[in-house]
Amino acid sequence: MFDRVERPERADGLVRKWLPQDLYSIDQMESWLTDMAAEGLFLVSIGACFAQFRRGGARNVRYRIDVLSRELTTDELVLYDSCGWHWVLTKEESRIFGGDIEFYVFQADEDATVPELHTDPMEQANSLRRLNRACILDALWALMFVLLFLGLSVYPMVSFHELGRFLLYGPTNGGWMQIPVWIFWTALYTGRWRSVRRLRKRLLLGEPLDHRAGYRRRFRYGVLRMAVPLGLIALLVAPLICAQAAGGGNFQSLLLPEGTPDFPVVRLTEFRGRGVEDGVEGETRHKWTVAGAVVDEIWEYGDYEEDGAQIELSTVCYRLPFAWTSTLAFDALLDDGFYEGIHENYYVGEITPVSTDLVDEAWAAAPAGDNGGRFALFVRDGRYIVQTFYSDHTTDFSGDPDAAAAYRDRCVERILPLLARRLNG
Amino acid sequence: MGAVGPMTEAMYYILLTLTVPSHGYQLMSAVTQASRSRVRMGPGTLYGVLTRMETDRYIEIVSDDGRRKTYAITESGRAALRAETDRLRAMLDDQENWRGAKGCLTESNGPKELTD
Repeated sequence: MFDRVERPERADGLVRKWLPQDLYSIDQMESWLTDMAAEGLFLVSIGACFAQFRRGGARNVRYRIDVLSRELTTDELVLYDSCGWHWVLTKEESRIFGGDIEFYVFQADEDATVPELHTDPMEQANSLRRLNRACILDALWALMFVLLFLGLSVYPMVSFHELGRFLLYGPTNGGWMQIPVWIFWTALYTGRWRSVRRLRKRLLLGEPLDHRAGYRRRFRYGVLRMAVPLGLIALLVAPLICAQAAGGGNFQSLLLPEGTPDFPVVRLTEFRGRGVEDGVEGETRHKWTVAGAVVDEIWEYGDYEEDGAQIELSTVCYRLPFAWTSTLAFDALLDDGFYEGIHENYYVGEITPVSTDLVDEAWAAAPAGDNGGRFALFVRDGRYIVQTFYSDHTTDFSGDPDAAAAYRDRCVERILPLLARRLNG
Repeated sequence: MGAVGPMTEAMYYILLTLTVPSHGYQLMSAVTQASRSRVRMGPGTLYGVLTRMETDRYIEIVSDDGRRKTYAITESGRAALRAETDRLRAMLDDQENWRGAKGCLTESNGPKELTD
């Protein structure tokens, strides 16, 4: 039987170290493990990001990594052992296509007269051929997924309408979330492929691997490689955050008994006076979208004490990062003509422009059968887009479009000045 | 089947020594013996070559008891070995027969000019 290297029985006392490279950079990993042993740290296990070591007496040890397409049998490990190479661990890389790849880590005392694990550079290059092919395949698969999800996400936005929807609601499918994940995998697999290609190139020239290859610069480069994409993402997101933060105090908060929503909104009691029976009830919602829009919603309802009518007022406010994007988003909103409320979804119906100097742009819809008898007002001002919906369930305008239009105009006259004051506050 | 072409030294000696069926350890000793201790093969090289040549059908496993595998050369392995031996022999013959080559490989002789 062979002697596997000494392993601790308990996990206490194990030292965990961040991996400077993965096993695909064979020469640098061998060099790093040798340096660790010189500090008295002997390899026990290797994970995705960390390696575990046991403490022992510092000594000079050679580490070698062998890449195989199959598991070694006991007899084969005995042969390695009899040649002075003690098996440390095996790390299996499972693959959907092309079969698994086994990384065997061996160690031998530096001072012992142990022949090299690989004595023929050309043959070692051949043994890395399959690994090289697997790395290329992995990188291509990952790249294909990047392109696929990019295509799925970008293709719907070839129209201004979809681009406007994106500005308002953020990504409308999950593809966007997949893109950074697959970019990460593509970068990782490409890095592995470059490492293996570099090693093969050297071996094919007849030069054995440099088992004491420098890894420190590459380690720093690896850290930099992780920091650059994260920095880029931060740079992309920072303007959105700054733009939103800068506009945070541009409107008044309303001092009403039922709360002070921090966005430009006309409240139900303002609109109908304070004659609402038993107060007003409702809910608010606040969210961000990936595209950088801040969405605030409020839904209020109550019974009006004069006639007992149930009245309802809903407002949705989109605060976009930049004013110049609001036209596109506003057009998409008007085209959709659909309102997804806190508790209810409905169509807005036919809308008409409102002539006003109070805000940049306003449209309104009269109550009708196809919008559930709701009045709707759409306002765009600077980087704000505000939708207001009002319904009075005792009033029926079906069959009387003139009365509905007059009702719409009255609502506009009462709501728009209040809203404009708040927007320009 | 792998590409037929010049073999590496390791591949040549393993094919040569597998004319007598052997397992790993015997094979390593046989290679050292056949090469008169000139070639000392590491275990990584040995199993790398064995795995590849088995895939290429130059060798086969003739017995496997779960612990120990015994390998032997196949017919296509013999053909490849013959072809490589012929190629190496032809190279040596060429070297010996080349008119300017006589004595050119001894250290005392410098480069010779060709004369008709």
